Amino acid sequence: MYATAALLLLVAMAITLIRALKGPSVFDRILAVNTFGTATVLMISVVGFMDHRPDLVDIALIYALISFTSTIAALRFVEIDHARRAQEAAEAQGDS
Amino acid sequence: MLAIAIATCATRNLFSAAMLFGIFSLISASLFVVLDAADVAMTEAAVGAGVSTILMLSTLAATGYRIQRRPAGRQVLAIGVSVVLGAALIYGTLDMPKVGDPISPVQTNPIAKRYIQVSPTETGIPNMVTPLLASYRGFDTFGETAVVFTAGIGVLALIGRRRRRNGALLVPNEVPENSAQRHRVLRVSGKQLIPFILLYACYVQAHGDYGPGGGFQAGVIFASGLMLYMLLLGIDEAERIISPKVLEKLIAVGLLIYGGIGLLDILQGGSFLDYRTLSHNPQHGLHYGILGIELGVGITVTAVITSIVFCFAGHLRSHIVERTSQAEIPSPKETPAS
Amino acid sequence: MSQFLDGLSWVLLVAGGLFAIVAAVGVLRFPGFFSRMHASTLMDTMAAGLVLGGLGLQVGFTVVAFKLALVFFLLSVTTTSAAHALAKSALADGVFPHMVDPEIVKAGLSEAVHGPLRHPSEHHQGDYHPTDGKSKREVAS
Repeated sequence: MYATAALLLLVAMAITLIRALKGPSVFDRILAVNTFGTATVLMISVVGFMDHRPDLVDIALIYALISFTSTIAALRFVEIDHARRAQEAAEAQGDS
Repeated sequence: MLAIAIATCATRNLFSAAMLFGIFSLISASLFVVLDAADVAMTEAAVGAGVSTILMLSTLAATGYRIQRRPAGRQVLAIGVSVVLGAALIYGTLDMPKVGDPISPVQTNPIAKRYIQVSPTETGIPNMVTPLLASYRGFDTFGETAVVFTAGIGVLALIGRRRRRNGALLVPNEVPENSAQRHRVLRVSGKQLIPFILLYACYVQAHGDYGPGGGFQAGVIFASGLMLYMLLLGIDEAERIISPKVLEKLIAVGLLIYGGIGLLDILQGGSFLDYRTLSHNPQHGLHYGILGIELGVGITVTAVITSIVFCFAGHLRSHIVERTSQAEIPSPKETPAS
Repeated sequence: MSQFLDGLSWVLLVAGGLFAIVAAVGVLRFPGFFSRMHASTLMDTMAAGLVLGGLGLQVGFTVVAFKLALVFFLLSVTTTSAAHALAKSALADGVFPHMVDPEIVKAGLSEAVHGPLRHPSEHHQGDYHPTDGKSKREVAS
C-alpha cells in the first residue's frame, strides 16, 4: 500500500522535473523546485512508514520549513538581479 | 539523478544551475531515506535545500554572472582529465560489494557486529548512530567539528564582513528600495515561522539519542532559521539582532566545549573523550558527555553557517550599494497578450 | 475496524498520489506561469492532505500523528506565502498572464455586462496596478 503511493509520488516528481528542466523563465524553475520539494516531503513520509521508521517524519518537517527558505532566497535573488540589471541598463544609457 | 546532473552541467544559465542543484540535493536526500540512512538524509535535506542554494544564489547576485562564459579554445586537456578520472572512479566502484551483500566487509567486520550488538546495552542510547558518532568515534567527530571551525574562519578571513568606505558605515538602506513594504505578507508569515524553526532545531539537538538528529543537523536548522530572518528583513536588521562579533566568538566556543569535555575526562582520571568518568554511573557519564559534545557541535555549526551566509549577504549589499545610491524598482513591462 | 481503517488509508494514500500526479501534469502542461502556479498549489493542499491523512490513520493518536498534522499545517502556511511572494515577484518582473485573445472573447461576451473590452496593455484609473505607489515612473497608458 505504501509502495503504490510512493510510486505515484515518484511519477509526480519525475513529471515536475521536466518542467524544472524546461521552464522558460526563472519563476517556472522556482515553482518547479517548490513543487518537487513538497512531493519529496510526502515521499519521505511515505517511505518512512514503509520501512517501519515513522521518525523519518522529522526529515519531512525539516524540508517543509527549509524549502520555504530556499524559495525566499530565490525570490530575493531575482529581485536583486532585476535591480542590478535595471541599474546596468540605466548606466549604459547614461554612458552612451 | 543522472538527468539532473547532466542538465546542471549542460545549462549555461547559472541560476537554473543553482535551482537544479537544489533538486539534486533533494533527490539524494530521498535516496538516503530509501537506503535507511536517516541522519545523513536529515543533514542533506537541511544543508542542500537551504544553505547551499542561498550561498550559490548570493554569489550569483554579488558577481552578476548570469551566463557561464564559453571558454576560449578547445578544452581538450580538461575533458581528457575528466574522462580519465571518471573512468578510474567507475572502475574503482566495480570492485565494491553490492548493496546489502552479506559477505561485504561492512557486514562481516567484527567491530561492526560489536557495535550493533553491544551499543544499545552498553550505552543505553536507542539510536545507534549517536553513540557511534560521539563516543566510539569521538575523535573523528572532533576532527569534523574542527574542519567546520576551520571553514568558518577561512571564509571570515578570505571574505570578511562588510567593507567600510572611508571608515563610515554604509548607507543603512535595504536594497531594493522599500522592499520591506513590498513583502508585507511574506514578512509577517515568515516571522511567525522563525521561532518554530529555532524550537525545532533545539528539539532535533536534544532528540539525537532517540531518532535521527544530533548536533550537525540541529546546527544547520538553527542557522536556517536565522538565515530566514536575514532574507526577510535584510542583512542590517539581522546583524543588529544577531551580532556578528558574538557569532565569531561562538564559532570557537563550540569547539572549546568539545575539547573541554575531553579535558574534563582527563581531569577526572580517564582518557581524552572517555565520558564514562564524568559521573559515578558510567552510563550517565556517557549520556552527559554525548549531550555536551553534541551541544558543542551544534553551536559551532550554527555559528559557522550563519557567519558564512552573513558574510556573503553583507558583501552582496555593499557591492550593490556602492554602485548605486538609490535603487529603483522598474515598472512592469507592458507585454500585450499575443 | 482496523481493516476498515487500513482500507480507508489505502484509499486516501492512492488518492493523494493521484492528485500529486494531476498537479505535476498541470505544472507541466499549463500554458503560462500563473496557471502553472495554480496547478502546483494543488499538490500542496490536496495531495499533502490526503497522503498525510492516510498516514495518520495508520498510526493512531500518537506523537507521530501530531507531527504529520504539524507537517500539513506548516506546508499550508509556507507554500501559501511562497506562492503569494512568487506571484508578486513575477508580476513585478513583467511576466504577463497568458490570456485568450480578446477578439475570441468578444464573440461570447456581452459588452453591456462587462463594459467596453480593453486590451490588457491599457491601464485605466481605478484599475489594480501592481506597482501602485512603489515606482516613481508613470505607467505608460
